[in-house]
Amino acid sequence: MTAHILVVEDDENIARMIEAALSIGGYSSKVCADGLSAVGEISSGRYDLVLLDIMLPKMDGFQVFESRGDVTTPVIFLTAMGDVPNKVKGLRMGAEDYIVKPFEAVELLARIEVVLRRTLKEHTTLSYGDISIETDKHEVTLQGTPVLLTPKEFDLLVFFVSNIDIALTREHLISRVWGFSFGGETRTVDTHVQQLRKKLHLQNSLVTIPRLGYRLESRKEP
Amino acid sequence: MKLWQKIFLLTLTLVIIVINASSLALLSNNHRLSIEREQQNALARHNYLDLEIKNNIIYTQLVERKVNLTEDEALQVAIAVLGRQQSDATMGVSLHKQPILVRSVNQASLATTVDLLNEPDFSSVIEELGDKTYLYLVSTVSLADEPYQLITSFDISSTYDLFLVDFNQIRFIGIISALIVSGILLLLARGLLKPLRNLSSTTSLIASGDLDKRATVKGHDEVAEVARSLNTMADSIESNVTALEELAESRRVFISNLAHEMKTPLTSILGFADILRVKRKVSEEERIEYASVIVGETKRLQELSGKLMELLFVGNLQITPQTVEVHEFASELTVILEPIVKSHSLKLKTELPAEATFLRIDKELMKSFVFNLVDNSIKASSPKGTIRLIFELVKSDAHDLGGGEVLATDVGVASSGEEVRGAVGSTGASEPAGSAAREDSTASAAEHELVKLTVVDYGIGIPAEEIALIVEPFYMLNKARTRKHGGAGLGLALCSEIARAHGSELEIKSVQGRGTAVSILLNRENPVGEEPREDTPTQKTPAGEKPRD
Repeated sequence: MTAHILVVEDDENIARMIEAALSIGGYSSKVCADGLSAVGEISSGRYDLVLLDIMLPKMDGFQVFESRGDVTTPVIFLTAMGDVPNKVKGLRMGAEDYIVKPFEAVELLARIEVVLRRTLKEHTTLSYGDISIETDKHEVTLQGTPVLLTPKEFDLLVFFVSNIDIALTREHLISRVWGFSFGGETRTVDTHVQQLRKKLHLQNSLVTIPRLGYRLESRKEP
Repeated sequence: MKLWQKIFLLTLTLVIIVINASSLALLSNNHRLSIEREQQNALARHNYLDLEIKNNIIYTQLVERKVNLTEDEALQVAIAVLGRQQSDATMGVSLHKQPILVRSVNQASLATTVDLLNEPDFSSVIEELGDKTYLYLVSTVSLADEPYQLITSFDISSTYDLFLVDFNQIRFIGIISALIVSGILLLLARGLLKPLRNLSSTTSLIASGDLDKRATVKGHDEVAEVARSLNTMADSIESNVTALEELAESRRVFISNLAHEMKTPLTSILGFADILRVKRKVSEEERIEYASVIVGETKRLQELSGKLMELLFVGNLQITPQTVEVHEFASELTVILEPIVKSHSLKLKTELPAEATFLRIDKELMKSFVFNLVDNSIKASSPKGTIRLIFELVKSDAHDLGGGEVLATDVGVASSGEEVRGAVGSTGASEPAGSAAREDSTASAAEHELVKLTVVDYGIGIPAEEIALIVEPFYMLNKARTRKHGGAGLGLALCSEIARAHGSELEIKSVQGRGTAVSILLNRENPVGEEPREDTPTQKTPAGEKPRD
């Protein structure tokens, strides 16, 4: 996944942080510090996704969103205004998502991944070493042999494979795979991870990070 | 019961009682008089009859030529006289020799005759017989030295009938007049109390939250007075409520700005910290970059909380003024400011009055005031620029003139005519203090001098339309620029609070692209006789008063 993402953010440090987070996720990005130039950038159609701050100099995020014309690039709003009316307004205007500051890098990546998977249809096949995943058909093969996974195990695998080399906490995994309403214990995550390791021979690459969670490490390690 | 009902019922009752009592008194007086007249009339006729009997006896004596008549003869004469009365139906007569009735003419039956006969000498009595009323008169007549009682009776029913007729008439008139009076009273009471009713409905409207309602004031009576007071009260309530709403609104804005100002550094901190936590391999270069941002943003938060504390401190606490000499104060300031200004490749120029000048100020707050202004100036200036810190003596009557020229003449904008001025108090609350200071200064204009403290820079300046906003907390002219220098947008808000605490206000003059001058006017302290007070706090220390107790 090498999507190109436009970051519209006026605070220099936040923009740098977002760029760093995106680079971990393997995305390339460009930063734009004000609303006016953002409109031009979006209109060029060169981006797969726009992260759009609402409080911007010259032109606020909502105005930028409205003036982008018929460009269909998906937009995720980033804002410090966490109130419901603004959230509703953003989503009603047609934004893909709405992230309230402050946020964790992993949360940002997870939201971006969801939006990109929804909008970029060509990215239906994921692969990791000799494992390949057909996300639309829910099929997983190990060295060409189909492996039977439960739906939760499948979602978990997709999340790990899309976040290679990133430590994912149990809370991240729960909120992404089971949803926020999941009331179960974090042990549930552990048993599912055990199953994945066993079924796909990931004992060495899907490692446990003490006091944090799990990380799927990239192959070709020294 | 409503007030108008009370007034109405009480007045009506009173009127009915007065009317009826007075007419009854009149009527009964009339009645008494007519009975007296009847009595006199009756007495005259009775006496006439008595005289007639005596005359006839004398006449008979003369005709009969007798010295004395016998009892029978005299009786005959008397009976004859009585007999002549038969034609007169208005009077009944009877003659008695106790207790025997001798002769009766036209006499109604006498129930009380026996009692009457026992009356001494002469008496009169009124008696009702059936539906008639009679007046009886009794006198003693001597016939041949024998005592006889002569009783006359008069029908005085008509007098009583007349009384009854009059009484009924009066009762009828009384009822009619009561009805008329009650009607008039009803209209009057409701009419007079109408303003009161209007007032009451206005009051309940105001009480239910309709604060812009006002009572109509008509005339100069008590109700109008109440209406006026009510309006005054409503005015003050309305202004208080408005002030409270404004306060709540400004507080809401302040808090939402504060939240926003806190979220921005927090976003960088959380983001970079999370990257450092979850990323598998972080290069040395990245680690330093990320951690530096975290440290920098944390310092920004620290700065923000420090400024907030200061703002809170100035807003809530009374200042503790002390007498400070300007030259000493300025040198204390430059020792600290010089290195900071130099580190930004800027020059600090201090201008002071020739003579020793004393100020009565809270030294620490005033230092903070100057630091904040110089800090703003540093942010606004480009390298190699100059920042001027000016203390100058100003005549109090020149209150509105000075200072601006410092910037204008030096920068050379006086001729261009686009000089922008604006005196900005922090809130409405600063006004009383400012006007009080002004009054004070005009009172002793001749010798009273002010010290004007100005910080001037020749930096980017402030757009005219933003001068009024610039003292608002969290207002930043250029966010990116301010944040790069670690500012939180609270500096001028703080300065304005400090000025207010000193009974003065900020004066901001700026021309975009030319520079900015921010000044404050302070009262010059007369050092003669004031010196001993140097270190005495403003609040009275009980120590000096204790020995007397």
